[in-house]
Amino acid sequence: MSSQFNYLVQELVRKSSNEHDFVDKNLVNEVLVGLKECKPAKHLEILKDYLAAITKKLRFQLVELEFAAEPNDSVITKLKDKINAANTLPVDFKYTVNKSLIAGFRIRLVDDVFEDSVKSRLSKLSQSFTS
Amino acid sequence: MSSITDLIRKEIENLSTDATHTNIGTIITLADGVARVDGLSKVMYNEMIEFPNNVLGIALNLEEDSVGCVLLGDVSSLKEGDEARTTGKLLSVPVGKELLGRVVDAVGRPMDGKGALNANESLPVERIAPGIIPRKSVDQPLQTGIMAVDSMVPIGRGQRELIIGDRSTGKTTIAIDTIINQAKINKQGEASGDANFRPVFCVYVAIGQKNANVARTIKTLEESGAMEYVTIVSAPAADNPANQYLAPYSGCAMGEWYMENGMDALIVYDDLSKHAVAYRQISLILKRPSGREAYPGDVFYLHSRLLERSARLKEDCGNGSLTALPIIETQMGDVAGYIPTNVISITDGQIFLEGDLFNKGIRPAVSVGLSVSRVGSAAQIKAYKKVAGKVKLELAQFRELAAFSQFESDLDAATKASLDRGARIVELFKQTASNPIAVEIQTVIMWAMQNNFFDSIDVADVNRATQSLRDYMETQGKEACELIYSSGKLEEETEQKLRSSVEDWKRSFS
Repeated sequence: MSSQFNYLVQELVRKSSNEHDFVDKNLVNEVLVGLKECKPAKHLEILKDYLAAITKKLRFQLVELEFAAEPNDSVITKLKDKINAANTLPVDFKYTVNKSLIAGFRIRLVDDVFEDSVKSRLSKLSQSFTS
Repeated sequence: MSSITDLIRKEIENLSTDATHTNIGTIITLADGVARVDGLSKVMYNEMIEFPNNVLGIALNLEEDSVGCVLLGDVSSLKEGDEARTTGKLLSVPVGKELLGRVVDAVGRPMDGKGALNANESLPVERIAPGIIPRKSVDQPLQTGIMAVDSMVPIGRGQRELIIGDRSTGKTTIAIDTIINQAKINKQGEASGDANFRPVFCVYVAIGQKNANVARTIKTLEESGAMEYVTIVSAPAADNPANQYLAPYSGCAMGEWYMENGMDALIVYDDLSKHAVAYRQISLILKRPSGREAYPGDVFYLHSRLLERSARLKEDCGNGSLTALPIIETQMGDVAGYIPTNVISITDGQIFLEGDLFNKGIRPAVSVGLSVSRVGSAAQIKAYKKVAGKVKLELAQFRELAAFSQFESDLDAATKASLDRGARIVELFKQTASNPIAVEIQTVIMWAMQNNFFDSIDVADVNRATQSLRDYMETQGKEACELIYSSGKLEEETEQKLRSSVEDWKRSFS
């Protein structure tokens, strides 16, 4: 992001977030409408930087959970509680089934991945033979 | 059969079953062997990054929004959107005596088709140089076997001596001859059974060279029987700049292993000009700010941190040493260029090779005025120091007088004597490639020169006379040579024997 628009983009992101510092769809819409109406100079560049900043912020409030098989509700609740307890900011959860894990789960929070699956254990075993 | 299953069982038992935590990112751009990765917020500088299909990279640029990684290996299988993950490890290369006689790439993978390396140890490529406390002054000689170098710019173990000159002036030849001489001395020392003998192991790093040149170097080393003491690290011109950037550091780690284990090693970086160019290429792709001649601001640090790793260690730190012979190519003899001045200021002296001398047939084309060894004279053996002490001054005087007297017809006796002596020294120092001369023979030749044995010989015949004296001393004058070799001194008794041998040779020489 260029320093020229840095302050402006940060302000737009702040206006797109609610009182819990969570990006809100309606607020984003308001910002976009506002930008369209006043059409500032270098409108396109500002929009591009705004998109990058919002994408980054959205990533921070999303936790991706991958399971080898369809998980039951109690497992999901337990995981949710633990993640919420560890996180200061509220987060969204996204569940997927990834059969390549064979068994176990994989949690992705921004760029940190916590994995306890048969796939990761097999990969560790294969590395111990080849390294 | 059971041992194989036991091995697998043991691995499974030792395997940690805890949940793993990795830091991941996504490739956002991929160009010219450099990937820009989004994510990897916990990556360390110089950490190895794992990409799909076993491609490795090194994190070199840690920015606010992304990480710039140089990629090692085949990048054609990667694409934007691929996942990259941290490994928590710094790039390491195999080290040890298993690498002797082998040709490896910048990350230590064998490329000579002689099978796996079977090295048990590895060391990180980037390491901090030894500090002041474990270091010791240079006090042991490293004989190059080249008379012009050993007499005028002597090199000691642990020294960093730059070899600098234009293209095709014999820079690589000096380095290769030095390696060949080490192999020769090693073989001689091992055959003598001397328990105190310290062999010198060699590492030759070829950076940005044509594959044909590297192959020719390997052939020369094999033909001279030196290959068994040498490891070649090759990052040819066809290789990506990341490997060319890494190769000297990898070679240095291999050399450091000898030093840290109480042995002596010699490393040749051929050449650091191409290394700087490869680094410039990487830096520009990583969009680092460029400075003079488009090199990045830390190009001095690039070479200083590499050459500072060469050292002579104290006895209580193992007494090992790593001697470095970096090579720099100049343009039109300009030693005041950016990279040449940087490396000159880092090293403990330089051997400057002049194109004009080379073209006149004076080979090795060592320039007396511009070559210097700042610490090596302390390492010269006493016998050699005694006979070679004045030669640099005599040759420098000759060059000056020769320039002034070329239009002068009437010269005084002293000037004429200086010119005669100088012309003979020039002839004496002419030496063919791959033909190193043992230090005791060099001492004899220099002694004969200082004692006027060459004065009655025509200047045109001096080179032939030198070869003849060398052959004579290697066969019939062995006794005097052995005395010099064993004591390292030129005592009265030795000198008497030497005089009688040289007088015998003089009578037989026609």
